[in-house]
Amino acid sequence: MNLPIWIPSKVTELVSAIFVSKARRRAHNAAAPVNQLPPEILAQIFEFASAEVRDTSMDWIALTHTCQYWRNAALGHPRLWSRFSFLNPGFAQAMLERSGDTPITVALLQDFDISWMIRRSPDLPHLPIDRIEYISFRHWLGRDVLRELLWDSDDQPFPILETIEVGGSCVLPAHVDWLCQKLASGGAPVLRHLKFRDVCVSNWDVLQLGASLKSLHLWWWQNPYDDSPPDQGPSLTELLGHLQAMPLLEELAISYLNPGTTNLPVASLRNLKTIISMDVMHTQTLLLGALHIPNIQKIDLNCLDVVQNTVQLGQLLASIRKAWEGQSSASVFRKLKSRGSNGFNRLGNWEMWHVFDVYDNAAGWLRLRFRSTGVLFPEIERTFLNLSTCIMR
Amino acid sequence: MVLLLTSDNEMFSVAEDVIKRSAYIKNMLEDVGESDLPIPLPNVESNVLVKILEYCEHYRGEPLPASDVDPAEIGDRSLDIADWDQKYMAVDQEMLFEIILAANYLDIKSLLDVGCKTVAKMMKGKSSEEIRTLFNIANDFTPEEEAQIRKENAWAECR
Repeated sequence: MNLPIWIPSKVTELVSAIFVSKARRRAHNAAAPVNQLPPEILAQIFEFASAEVRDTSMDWIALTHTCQYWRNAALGHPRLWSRFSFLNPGFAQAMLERSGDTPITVALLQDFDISWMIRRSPDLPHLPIDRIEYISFRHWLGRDVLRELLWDSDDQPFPILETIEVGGSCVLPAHVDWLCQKLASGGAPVLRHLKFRDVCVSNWDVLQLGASLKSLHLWWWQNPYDDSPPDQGPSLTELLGHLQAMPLLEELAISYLNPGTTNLPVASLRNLKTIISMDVMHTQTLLLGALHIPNIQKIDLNCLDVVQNTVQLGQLLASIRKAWEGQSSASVFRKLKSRGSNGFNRLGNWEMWHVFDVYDNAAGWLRLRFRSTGVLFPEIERTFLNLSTCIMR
Repeated sequence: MVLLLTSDNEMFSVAEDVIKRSAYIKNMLEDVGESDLPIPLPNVESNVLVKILEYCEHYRGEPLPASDVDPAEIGDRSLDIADWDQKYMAVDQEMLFEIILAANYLDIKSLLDVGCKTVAKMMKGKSSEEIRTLFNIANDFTPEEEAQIRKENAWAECR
């Protein structure tokens, strides 16, 4: 077929128009105020924009479809792709490739319907055990992923795993035993943060891995107004024994311990900055009485039982001051605030109580929450007054 | 007091504890020691420095962020912005990006984070076309890139 003579020149004209148009667009984009930001800052913005929706949506990928400069910024920033998503096999594979050699995070935190995906489509890439730095499963759908991770890894250690954060709904007892066994036998040599929430652990020897731990959370949740705590935590003696071997510990969150004996060893934790505890007042008194935490910055205690007399309270305060030796003095309890609250107790009766918050910005931060009847309030106030130089309500 | 010289040759005299929120200036003061000579800031114009100093002044006396915070830590990426910071960042786009660039140059991490979060919030939930309109950007992809983008869009649709 013979083409009319004008067609080649028309094509050339069109092609050159396209090139001119592209060049103009590039020049236009290069001058746009937002594109004066360097790629690394743009990528940081993308990280913020995507962080909250990663588990539930891939819409954030639109950021990389805006213009060439943005796309190159995103593709040139492996960390943007290093928090693994389970939403689509193709996307998962792309994330693995684009994350390069950077350590990856495997997290399932939010409540959403991806049950079909969590059945682990055979198309999903296997996660590289040697690149996992952070595992966080708080949603029950993480159960199968965790099982696969443990299964896949077999005897292979997680060489760079620094944080493991697991909620009870994500694990079956068999998984916990498996996980604990793996951790306790050196399966995560650089583990720094162990956070169990509502996880039933049958063998507390897992805590022997503690020499390099910086955070330890052993947390169970139940109705705080139920005075009968679950029998899930380690005993105080067991815990303190393990804490003695955790010199680097900076953060401890603990609830529902078994008080056990009163003849307790003392654990000196010079690096501890934060302690959060939810338990009955007696147990907290014993725990703090057995700790030496001179550099503590934040103490957050939630007492579950109703304070019947100020002797109990005085003992707890004495324990806190003893534990906080070095920073404490009378000033620890400088600012006391209280507020009335109410609700049903475990017998279904309506009950009034006070919540006390005690702060001292100079020495640190202490929040102490406990319930008592209004009748006791003046006496409680006097207990604090005796300890402090100045009380503000 | 510390003397700062902006790119448009304006001199600012600033209290040391105010400007020390800038890790760049703080390190410079520690390295050089006391001096009457102004510190040149060739990447910061005077109108932007005024805004930066407003931020530093507001947070004067508050502890400087720890330098060993792990930026990759989960939970560190929420888009929450304090009320005052939100009002502070209510400026036109050009100034917003200038603030971010200056915060980056002066190494004021908290301000850089607030700036990045502000821009991230503007983008959140928008399509690529809406983002282009918002920031006055043109689509300059090659046909090959367009094809890859179509494939990526299909992932989102195949969920």
